[in-house]
Amino acid sequence: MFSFLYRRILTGILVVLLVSSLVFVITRVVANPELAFLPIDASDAQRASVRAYLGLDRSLFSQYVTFIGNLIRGDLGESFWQPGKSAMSIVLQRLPLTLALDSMAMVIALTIALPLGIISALKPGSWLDRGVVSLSLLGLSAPQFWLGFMLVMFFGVRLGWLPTSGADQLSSIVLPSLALALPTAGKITQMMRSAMLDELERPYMLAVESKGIGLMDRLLRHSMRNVSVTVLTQSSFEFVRMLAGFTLVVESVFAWPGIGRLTVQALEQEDLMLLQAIVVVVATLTVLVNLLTDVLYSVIDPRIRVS
Amino acid sequence: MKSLLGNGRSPSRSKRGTRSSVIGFALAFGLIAASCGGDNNASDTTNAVSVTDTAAPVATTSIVIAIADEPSTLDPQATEDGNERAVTDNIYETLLRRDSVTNELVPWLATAMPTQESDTTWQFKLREGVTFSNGDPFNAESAAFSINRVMNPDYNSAQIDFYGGIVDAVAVDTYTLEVHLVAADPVFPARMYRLKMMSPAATDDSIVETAVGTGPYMLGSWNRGQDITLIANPTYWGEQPSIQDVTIKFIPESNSRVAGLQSGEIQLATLLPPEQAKDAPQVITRDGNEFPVYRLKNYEGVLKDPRIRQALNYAVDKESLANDLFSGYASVATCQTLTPAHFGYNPDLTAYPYDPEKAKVLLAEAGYKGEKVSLLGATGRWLKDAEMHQAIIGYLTAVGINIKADIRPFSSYIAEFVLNVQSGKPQQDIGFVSASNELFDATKIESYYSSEGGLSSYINAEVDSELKAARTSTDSATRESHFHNATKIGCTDDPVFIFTLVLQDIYGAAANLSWQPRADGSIYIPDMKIG
Repeated sequence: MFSFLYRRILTGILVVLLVSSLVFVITRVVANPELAFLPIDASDAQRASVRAYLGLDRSLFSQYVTFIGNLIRGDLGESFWQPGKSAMSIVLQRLPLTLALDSMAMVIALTIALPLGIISALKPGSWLDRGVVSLSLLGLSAPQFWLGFMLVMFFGVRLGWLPTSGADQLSSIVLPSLALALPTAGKITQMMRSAMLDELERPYMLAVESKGIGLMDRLLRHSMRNVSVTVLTQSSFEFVRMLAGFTLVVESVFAWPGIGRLTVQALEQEDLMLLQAIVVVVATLTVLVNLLTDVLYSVIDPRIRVS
Repeated sequence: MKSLLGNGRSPSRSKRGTRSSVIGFALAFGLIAASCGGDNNASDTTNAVSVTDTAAPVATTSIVIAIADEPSTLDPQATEDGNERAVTDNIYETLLRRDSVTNELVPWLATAMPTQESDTTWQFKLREGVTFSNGDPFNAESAAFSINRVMNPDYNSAQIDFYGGIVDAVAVDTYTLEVHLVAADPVFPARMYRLKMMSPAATDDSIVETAVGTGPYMLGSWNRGQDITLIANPTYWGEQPSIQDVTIKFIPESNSRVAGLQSGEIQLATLLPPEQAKDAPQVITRDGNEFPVYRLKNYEGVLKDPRIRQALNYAVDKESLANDLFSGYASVATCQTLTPAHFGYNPDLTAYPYDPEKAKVLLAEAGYKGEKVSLLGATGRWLKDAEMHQAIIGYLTAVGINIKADIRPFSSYIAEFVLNVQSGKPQQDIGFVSASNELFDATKIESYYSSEGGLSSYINAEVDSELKAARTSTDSATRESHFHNATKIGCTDDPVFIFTLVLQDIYGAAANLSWQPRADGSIYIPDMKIG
């Protein structure tokens, strides 16, 4: 178990280092950070001072060593857009809001998807099953920004129950997390349904049933345990997709001040340092989510530890 | 319920389990509903209390204003950023300002209009008894400091172009300020209405996220990414504003701004797209100061022949752009980037009619044979900029112009667009820009019409000499006639732009907000009243 974890953590660190190095190459070699810092008509003296400030006058290798050294200490440079603030501190200030949004969305998605998936697997082909399947198809094919506006129009404007945008009260999280959750719920429902169908057809289910064990026990104790590996894989994949992609859209629609919105702002302001910090933080989170998933696998299914 | 559980054979234990989870669901929804209800009630009560309880002469009212994005800084002298101005216009003040109704220059932190001591020296008498919100007195010294700060080349302000040839400012005595210019500048007073006065003691690095001004409001808080709050300045020298508490939210999506208006969370939203105006409880519009134009490179390249540039103007259906693209919230520009509200407006000019056949004839006469014409445009910066590019490219392609478009986000567009004639670097044949004229004086057209203009891709010796004559004359009739000559050449003989429209500013507002927007587009909250 521990050697398994140990290996996973080492791989994770390696992945973060690789991603960071890629960011380094893109920002230093492919792009020219100096241009982002200077007006187009800057004098040679200004250019030289900015190059010295950014360390661009040193060799690429020596820059890389400094970069990695700073990275290990969590220092990713000073924001250009908000001078005097470290890029990392800006990202970390916004990160909790994104994590809260994505976690809430994940909870909502699972709360919807798991019961629906099971229910429709129990009676395949029934009107209920067909209803769930069509509903989940609708959900997974609805784009988040459209869904977001529909939710705002209905719950925010028509009913006036929830704030239409912002993050200034607790209830502000409901609509953006729903907009994130519904497509994911659609996907997990479909996956849950087919995994459950496979599981229910296995011979051991018949054996369990013939022992007189009730439906809920059969589902929760026996089939669910096997299905949960698949659910977990899909869920962690969905979570990462939210974190690294869909929050960008949803946070813009709802003016939610998390890292998705921050990414758009950093792009608009050409704040390379900030973008770099966002990429590194999101990469680290992705690795952490995958690590957690691996750990959970081995808890659910001991066979995975061995392989 | 039975069918959900299947068979009806389930043991009682699991039944209980299901029922309790159903109750759990109901509880969860109840909680959400309760929490929303609670919020609504809470805000209702606070409003009620504030209205009924305050026996003070001014009732405490609050407003939530939605702007399109977060200010890049709160330093009022650093950038050209409308989001920054929306906030700092209410915190900082200027020596002169424009009257909210007539748009004429009037004294503000100065007690009278400046007097001209010599060709290049202007003198201001300053208002006494004004203090900054940190307690520092406002006087000639702080005024001189503010002017010298923005003009300092090391400070590298994006506003320098606006203030032009100021050499320096000095304090003659405590309340007398003298400003020295490089050369005679008849529009100097008009330049001063944008230059915000700062306290010398409050301009260190922290000023980018704090604010110390003499204005009617002070900075309450800046919740990064979310909003800025303003509170009324209790020591303000002028009349206390009727709205005491202000929240300025950053809501990038215009749909979301409209939704906020409809739900009553927001009382004023800026920059509504024309097609969404009908969804706002109240629409407030004003003839704007935005002229979307396509600057044309006349000194080299495919467009060198003026007939080709005339053809480009004939090729575009301006009426249709105004009515279809801007839902009527725009009018056709009269072949100049000025309106009758601007000094120097040429009443004799009219827009090119839409005549694609004539355009084709002119192109043939000029010998245009499908050479590539590069076009630089920005998206996401100005109202319907992307749609505008699509329409214009469509019109130009329809008469046979081979457009090679390069449409970029603003930040990467601007780096390319600021290349001017003087930079000596290659410029695109056509470059989109939304020209504005905060000076309300035709001298601002120099940026594009003069070969020395900061954003120019145009060389015409005659226009240069007309503009130079206008710049050095102090007689307004003479100036006006020189501007008329320059704009005539820039329209007909040697077109400087593809002229299109004059846009209206569209604000969405709550039904109970009364507000007449200013000609300069300033969102000055003391002008507003609620109820």
